[in-house]
Amino acid sequence: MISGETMNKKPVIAVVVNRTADIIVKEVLAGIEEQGVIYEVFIKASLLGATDMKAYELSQLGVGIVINERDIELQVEKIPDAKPLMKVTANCNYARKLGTNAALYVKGIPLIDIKI
Amino acid sequence: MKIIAGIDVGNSTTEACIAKVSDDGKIEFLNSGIAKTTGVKGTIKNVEGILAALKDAVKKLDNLKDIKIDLIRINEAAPVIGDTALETITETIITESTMIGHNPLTPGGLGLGIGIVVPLEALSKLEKLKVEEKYIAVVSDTENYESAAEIINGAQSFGIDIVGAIVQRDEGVLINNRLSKKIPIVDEVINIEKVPLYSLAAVEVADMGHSIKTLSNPYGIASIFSLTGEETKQIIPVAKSLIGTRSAVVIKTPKGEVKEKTIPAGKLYLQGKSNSEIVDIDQGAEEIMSIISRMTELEDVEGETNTNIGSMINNVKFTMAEITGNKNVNIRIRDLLAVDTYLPVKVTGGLAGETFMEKAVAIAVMVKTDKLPMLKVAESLYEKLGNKVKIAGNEAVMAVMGALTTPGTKLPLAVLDLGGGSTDAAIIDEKGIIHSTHLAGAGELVTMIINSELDLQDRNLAEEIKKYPVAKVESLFHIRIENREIKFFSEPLEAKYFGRTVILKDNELIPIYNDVALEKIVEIRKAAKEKVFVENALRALKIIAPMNNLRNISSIVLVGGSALDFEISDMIFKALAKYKIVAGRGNIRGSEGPRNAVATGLVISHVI
Repeated sequence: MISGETMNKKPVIAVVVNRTADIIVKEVLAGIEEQGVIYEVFIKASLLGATDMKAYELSQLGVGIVINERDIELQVEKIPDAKPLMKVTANCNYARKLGTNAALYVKGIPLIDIKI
Repeated sequence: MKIIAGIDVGNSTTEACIAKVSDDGKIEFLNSGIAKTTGVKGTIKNVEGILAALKDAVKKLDNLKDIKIDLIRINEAAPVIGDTALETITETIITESTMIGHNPLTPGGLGLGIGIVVPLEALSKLEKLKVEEKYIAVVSDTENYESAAEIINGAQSFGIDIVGAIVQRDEGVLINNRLSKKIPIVDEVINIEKVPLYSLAAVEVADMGHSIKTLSNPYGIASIFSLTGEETKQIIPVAKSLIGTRSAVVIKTPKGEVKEKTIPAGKLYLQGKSNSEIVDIDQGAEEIMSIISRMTELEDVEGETNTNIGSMINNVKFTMAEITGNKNVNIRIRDLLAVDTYLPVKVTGGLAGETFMEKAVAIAVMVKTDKLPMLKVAESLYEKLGNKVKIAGNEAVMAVMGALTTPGTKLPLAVLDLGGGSTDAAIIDEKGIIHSTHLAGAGELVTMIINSELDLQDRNLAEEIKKYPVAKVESLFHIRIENREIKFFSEPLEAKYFGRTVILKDNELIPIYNDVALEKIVEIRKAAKEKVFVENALRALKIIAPMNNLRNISSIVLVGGSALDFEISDMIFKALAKYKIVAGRGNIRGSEGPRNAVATGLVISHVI
């Protein structure tokens, strides 16, 4: 059983996948990879006892992405419980851009406008 | 007992001063008001702004709601009107897509690759390719990164040497990560269809934190493409524009041409009281200004016909003639300020929206007309309000009277009025004699320079950058202001602010979306203010100083809207420091700061 305290946090963006791994997930990861930032993928189902954890808690960088069936959320440590920093509908275009923004956030660079 | 209102119509703002004046001449100042000047100063359109300024003054007086003004005193508005223009004096023409220098954020790979440009399809079909040749792959957005990498790897395995790639999508890193042999890749090339296929090209990507060394060096480009001495000279603007970039592509095209030519910007014909001079615009602002300073008094300026400067000056005179109901011949330019600057111009034939900084000269001119336009304004005001309106005396005299209400001032006194359209100076000696001057170039010219040098294409944004300090949003909870101080927020900032440079306007953050470093914004803002206001302050003071020697001035008061600016006054004080002059911002009536000098003077002069 994985719990928050025993988990080894790494300096990566934690990507929690809560749907079947598919092209949407691939696009998010591509957005992060192009920016030169490392990610680690977690399958929601296998997080067992840690289901209440926020995605960013799995990341030493304090940045996490949750990819659901209908939407994708970018969560950051600095804004706990309340809102995700960004939330978009799960489609290829938005997925890539959200991945990019997660990486830009890590790098401290202005985020791109997803709706364009 | 009468209620008197003083109205000062300036180039940018209209100010009002309301006071109670008793029959024995005692003045009780009630309030002041301010509004944007409507229309060009000295025309009937000003009435709207005057009414707004009066309304502003009256509304702050809650116990005098139905205040009835007995007399409105309006300034003579020394008929000087300013205008500004910007002219490029160099033009760089690059034809036939010779280079790519947009500096994308995430290029792929590292190093320098020189080869023949081929489309990806040629690599997948292995057609028209030779094993002894080197190639640069062009990947349009119809290909995704996985298949692109697969095709390049495939061609490599067949012995085709691919040494670089030019990619339309932002996928340089993604492609390079999947290649068996790493190559330099420039991505985000918007107009990829313009890349001339089967030409010789060089792709260079530097390491993170570094800039390219070969393509930013004209001899480097010459070595790659075996250029002659003459061709190398022509390639200089390309190399120049690639300095400091992390990645670039230079392509040798058969018809390709790079030319940096000087536009004959034209001559200025300066007519003085006792002499006349001719100066070429492309000699630069310093030369123009030194010639003007040598002339006793400028009576008029004309521009060479059929040149940019010629038509600019004609336009200014024509516009002023129309607005003031004058004839062209009666419009004379009495002062001109030239400032060296530059203008980012889009490169025609650039493949990714590149711009070149072209040298330019910004010019502000001061036009003087024969007629007294304020009469029409006064008549119109009387019709609208029914109050008596009187055109009171000379603006410079009023400014000095108002400035003298600053605690601590005494005669002799010099007043520097820093406005939106002009920089004015006046000096009053112990005998009460006043000398004054009005110079072209003030707040509006500063805004124009900031707008062009930062390539904002947004005058309002330039105005905000001029007036307020900037800061960098470093996290969702804090920003670092340009003076290194940190400001914290209790609630997280919106995602749109993250990482951006913002303007700190009172308690508001205005994001700047243009890709410009904070340090550059600060540098350009300060330089623009120096080039206009410090230059003009010294120019104006030298003109009115006894025997034109600044050391003969003992004290100076700064008034006007631009004196409120957070930096300008200090810059001027610093420049005046060596003359050992007591200089400071005015504090009209001990309460208004540097504003309202002329309006206050108008009220005072009624009693004198």
